[in-house]
Amino acid sequence: MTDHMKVSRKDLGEDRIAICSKFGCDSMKRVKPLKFGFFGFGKYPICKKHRIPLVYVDERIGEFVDGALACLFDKAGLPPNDLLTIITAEYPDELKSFIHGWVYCITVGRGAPVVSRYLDSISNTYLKQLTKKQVKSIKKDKNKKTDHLYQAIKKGMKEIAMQYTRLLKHLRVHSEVLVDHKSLNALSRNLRSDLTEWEKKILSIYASPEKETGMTLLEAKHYYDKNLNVSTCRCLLGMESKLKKVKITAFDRFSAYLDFFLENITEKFTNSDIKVLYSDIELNPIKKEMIIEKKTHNNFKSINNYQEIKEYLRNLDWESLTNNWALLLREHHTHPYKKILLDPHKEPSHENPL
Amino acid sequence: MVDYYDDPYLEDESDERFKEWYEVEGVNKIKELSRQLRTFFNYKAEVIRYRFRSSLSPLQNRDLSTFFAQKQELYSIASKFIQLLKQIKNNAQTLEVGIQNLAIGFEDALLKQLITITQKLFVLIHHFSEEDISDHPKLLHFMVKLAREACIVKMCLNLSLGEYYAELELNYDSLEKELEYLLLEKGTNGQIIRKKKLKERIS
Repeated sequence: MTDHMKVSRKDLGEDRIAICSKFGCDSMKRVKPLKFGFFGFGKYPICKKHRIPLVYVDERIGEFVDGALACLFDKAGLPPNDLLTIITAEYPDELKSFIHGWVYCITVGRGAPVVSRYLDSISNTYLKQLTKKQVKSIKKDKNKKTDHLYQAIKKGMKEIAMQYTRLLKHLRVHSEVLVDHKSLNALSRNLRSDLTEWEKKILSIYASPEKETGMTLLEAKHYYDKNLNVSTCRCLLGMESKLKKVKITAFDRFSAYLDFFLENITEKFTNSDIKVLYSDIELNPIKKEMIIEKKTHNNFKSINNYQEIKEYLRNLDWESLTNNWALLLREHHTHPYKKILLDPHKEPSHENPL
Repeated sequence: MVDYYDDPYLEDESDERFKEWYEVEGVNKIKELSRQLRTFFNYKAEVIRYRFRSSLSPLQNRDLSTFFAQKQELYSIASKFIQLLKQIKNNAQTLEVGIQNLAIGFEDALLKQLITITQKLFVLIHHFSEEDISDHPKLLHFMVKLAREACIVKMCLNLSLGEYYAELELNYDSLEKELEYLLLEKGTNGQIIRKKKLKERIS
């Protein structure tokens, strides 16, 4: 038995064991993942012999698939607001095509081709753990035969196969329900050029985190989402989704997303969320006007316009537009994100930044 | 919990036998599941690249002689595979029934041939999924179709992973239909088919 650090999780009082997924390897570590702070990147311990990531032990393999699905279908994976603003202003006729194309590319952009690498490690560890437990129970109880061991392995394999099938089914259903292939259109050359510029801009900001440790879970999620959105954008441009500058391994991303999923900070997107993206622009004439004003570089904050807009905002039927008024906000990049709830019926202010 | 992890894993001779069985039933099956998943998503990514790539993007710089040799090998094995499937389906209503009849009818030679060819075919399917073939749309379409048929064979031959291969086959079927429509839309040369404008004449 190798490294053994006896530490415990502050909040739940549980140990978390990470082991090597290779059959017969005894490499193991007891680690302490804190809920807030000290969330590192590329910091998952690796087996010294096999140089592969150690995997946290958990018999509930379904949870790992839940984490992977949470990554592939997270709402934060939908087209970001800054891009939607650019496209509405510059290419309004291509807005729907862009949104449909983006949703079509989401699963591949966010890592579906590499999910097998992650699941491979998890499945091997799960089966290895199951086998170990069965061997121990057979040794303790002499009435049990080795046939029980074989049955345990078969049952474990059945569970693993079922989880792989579940993943495939989810992805097929996504494709059938959320995407109409026949309505997908190619993007114009100018839009493609703007998307390339946007991708470069995001990578220049988010390619390397400012600090490798000390990020909260929300900040870490924001970092991952920004980079995964760039991968989705690259798919939409017909390029390889892999990013050379940013090294996010399959293991990093899906393990991180499992943590996000377990902390309930992920949310699966639906058809309604997609429709809201373009209907929000269409139904809200003020937003359209704001974007057009921005495009023509007018001074939007003239007194008369401002008062009219405030009045309009106060009288608008907000419930018909959207029911999601939660916002992640931070005053400075060194401060953590705070979740605030906007209130469109109150005056816009520093605390209510409508 | 500490004691459990301290126990040694392998102790006596019977464990050697078990280790071999574990490799076959456990590790190899997981490898197969993962490999198939990766191959499918690779092909899906290639379809996306074919759909959205810029007409100005350059073709891949590859070793053509090796690529064509691999293509020849693929067509040779695929041809044998298709012939065999036709032979099996000859006396049956569907391919699935035909394959099941092989096992029931004790046609071991034909069954063994089918297993061997399917295995060889999958090796090539996996290999081409790692190559960038988005600039070879016809080949891409052919690979997806082959993968779908091979999944049907695996579904019938492998009872423990039958549901997995059934779902995988549905995914390949969906991808094939999408690619077929895309090829029709873009034309076999990869160019967008432009509708001919008739000149107006004053009679």
